[in-house]
Amino acid sequence: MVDISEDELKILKLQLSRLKLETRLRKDLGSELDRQKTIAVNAENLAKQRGDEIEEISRKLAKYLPEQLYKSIFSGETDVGVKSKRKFLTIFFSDIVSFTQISENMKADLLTEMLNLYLTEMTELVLEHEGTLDKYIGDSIMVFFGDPRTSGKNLDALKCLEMAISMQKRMAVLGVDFVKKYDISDPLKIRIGINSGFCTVGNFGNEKRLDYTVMGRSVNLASRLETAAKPSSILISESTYELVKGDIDLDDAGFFELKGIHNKVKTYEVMP
Amino acid sequence: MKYTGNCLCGNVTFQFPYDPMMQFQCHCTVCQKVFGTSLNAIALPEDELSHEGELDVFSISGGSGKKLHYYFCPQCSIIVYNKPDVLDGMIYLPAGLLADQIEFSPTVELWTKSKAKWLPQAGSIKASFEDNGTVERLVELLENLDQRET
Ligand SMILES: [Zn+2]
Ligand SMILES: [Zn+2]
Repeated sequence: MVDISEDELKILKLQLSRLKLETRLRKDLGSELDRQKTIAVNAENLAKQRGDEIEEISRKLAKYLPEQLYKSIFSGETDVGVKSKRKFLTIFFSDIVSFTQISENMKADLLTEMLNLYLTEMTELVLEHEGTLDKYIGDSIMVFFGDPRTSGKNLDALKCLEMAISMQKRMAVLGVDFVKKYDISDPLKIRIGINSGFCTVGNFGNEKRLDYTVMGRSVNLASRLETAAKPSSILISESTYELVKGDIDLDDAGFFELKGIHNKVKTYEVMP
Repeated sequence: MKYTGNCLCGNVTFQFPYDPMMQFQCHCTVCQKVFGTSLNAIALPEDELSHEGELDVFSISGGSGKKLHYYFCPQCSIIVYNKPDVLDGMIYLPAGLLADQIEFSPTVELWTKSKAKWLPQAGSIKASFEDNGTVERLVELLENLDQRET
């Protein structure tokens, strides 16, 4: 008979009740995601009816989205039944500087064409660096590394940074091309924010189309860093820095006070 | 036991051993009816609360379409806790029941679109949701669960 102290028994009981609670919360999250999915599908149908052009491109490009996931699902790596899990990821956000002003001064068909070209070019770089494209939100792009496949924390973060650098390099050329081609006043620039940390990965797809989404504080921080980044730069958090510092040249960018995030965040910058 | 409390008449007493997992405000119209203005509450795992004395239950359908259950003392009518089916596993306990044991500092507020206009925002709020913010709250709870000392 195994001897177990009262303290050990207490800890085991605690762990058990923690696990039980976690299971219940994950179930809750699953059913809430399903409910919102239904609302989102309805909203998408409505947008379709209105023929919103930007929505239209996003949808066309959406066929690229699950490529990575598609492969892993069909080789049985991901259990489609699992609605959410915790994963260590590196999360990437980008958007076009002053996009609202640019779009106000452009004809709709030209804007659509430019955005389409831009998103296609960027998507190619995402796939090339094996990132998982989470979503497009208008002109912004969200990508993560570490799920469904991971090469380890460090390599995931490194791949993300290499992708970000190649995007900025591509934009240095493309942004100038766009000035002539679409008659805009200044070269098109993007800014990028990157953070690494544990996230909740939710899967609320169906058999036709897989929808992955990542949530949590780490994701919010990546998005805030993007907003705080200077044009043509990449702003990363300390946790991403720790994973890539030996491999990439980074400048200390000081502490940032970011809206909605309590503590100051130490940041680093890459100016490709 | 770390926290203890009771209803007005004293027929119901309760206790729980750990710090709450979330402190929040709900400004929805139902809470305004039930609690006067907004609900100021703490969230804790259902399994961590124990109580003595009989409680009655009254259930309504919430905004999510799922049920919300109010557990109250049948004698003095004080609501001791709510249990939302949409966050199965958790319960909400009005912060006033712990008046002198906890310095209430809500970090999340819900249903700000129906919040009373005269009510200022608490300084401790980190996230405001126009609606019930259920997904974000669940993610937050799951992250808190990871950081919880046991
Ligand atoms: Zn009572
Ligand atoms: Zn309410």
